[in-house]
Amino acid sequence: MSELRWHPLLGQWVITATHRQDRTFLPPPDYCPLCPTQPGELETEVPAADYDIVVFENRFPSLQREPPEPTVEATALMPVRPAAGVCEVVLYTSQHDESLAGASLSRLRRLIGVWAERTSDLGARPGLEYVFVFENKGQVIGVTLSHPHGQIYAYPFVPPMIATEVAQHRLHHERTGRCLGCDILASELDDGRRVVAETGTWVAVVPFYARWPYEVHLTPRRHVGWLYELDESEVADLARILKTVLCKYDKLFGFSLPYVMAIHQRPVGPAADDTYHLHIEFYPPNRTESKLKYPAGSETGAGTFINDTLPEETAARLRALQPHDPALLAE
Amino acid sequence: MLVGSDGPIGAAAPQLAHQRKLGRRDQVGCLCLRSHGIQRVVAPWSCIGVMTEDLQNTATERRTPRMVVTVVVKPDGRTLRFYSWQESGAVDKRRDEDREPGGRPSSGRE
Repeated sequence: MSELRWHPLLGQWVITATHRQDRTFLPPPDYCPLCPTQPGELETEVPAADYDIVVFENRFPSLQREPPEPTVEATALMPVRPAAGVCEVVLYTSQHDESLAGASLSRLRRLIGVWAERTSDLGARPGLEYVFVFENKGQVIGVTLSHPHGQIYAYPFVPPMIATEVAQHRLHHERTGRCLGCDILASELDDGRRVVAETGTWVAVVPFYARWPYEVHLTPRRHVGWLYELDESEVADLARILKTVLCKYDKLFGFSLPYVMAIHQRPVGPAADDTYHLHIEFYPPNRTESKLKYPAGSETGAGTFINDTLPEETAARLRALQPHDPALLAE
Repeated sequence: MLVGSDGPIGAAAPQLAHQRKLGRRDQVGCLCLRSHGIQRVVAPWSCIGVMTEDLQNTATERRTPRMVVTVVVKPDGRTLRFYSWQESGAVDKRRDEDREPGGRPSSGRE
């Protein structure tokens, strides 16, 4: 059972998806449903002996191509609608123990191409308004399968955080005639203290307004809204700066750092707004090697984040870190 | 003009996608294919091909390496997409740096 229930106080949709209670939870290492199927072994999600990159529809989707009718009746105060949409799983590699940080630059470029292709494809389907590409990494984030993978949710509405960012972009454009994302990037570059890494076409910063310790945003210098608008040099640079930041993350505390990666693209279809600036946000929960930042009372009850770190200091620390092996960033 | 090979690329493909003007080749270097009821627009830089049985002959010259997507429908109705990349004039060739020891190149077709 899944459906969309309207939250009248917050003015946003809540997805109920009770079937997800039964999803696979931390299976034993000798059976990974995301590894290739080996001859004579139990079939996995991928019926092939090997693969490069694979995308498949989630077996336990929050949003469905053909959703069931809601189980409750809607009222004027509390509307309900079918949970229409698409939930996909993106397998970065067939190698169970690899991670995005360990992927070659060419693999990262190919993965960016897959993200772009899925955005283009899903964004062209009627009824969908937002394509969200993301990754949850690490058990502390709530990951139930350790095989390196990300996800894509195609929503029938623009999710609230994106809607707010779109509204802020539009407001800034109305006031100044300029792009908010471009102005933020120019401000960060002018200040310089929070810049973590740069390429010719992308910049990584711990933003002035970071909510999480070691939060990093990757922003293209050019004003684009979707991954599929990037040209070849921008894709190559994104792969390089992505790998640079991930290598710095893994060196930060000496272990593979958990994080949420959120790719913020423009809405699609009628909700598209050309004032919005593409960027990628990383939220690692670690505030120290052994202490986590928990979204607690102020964050979840009032919507106001408390960051226990100074972005200027965390950026300086990340900036100073170099990959264990410089060859990691070679082709 | 060949598919995705050149031309005034950029906002044209997504704009076409969002206007639902799918299913045709056009002058801005954008090829739109329909496969398994799924409509897709090819962003020219990414050079996507859909190599299903009914569309194998549709693919034309593209930049290299080109992405090939093979769509498989699982018994429960879910779709599974295999992505592979082809160098110019070659079939099923993966970059050497990503070839795992003992592994075989993904054919992208199952």
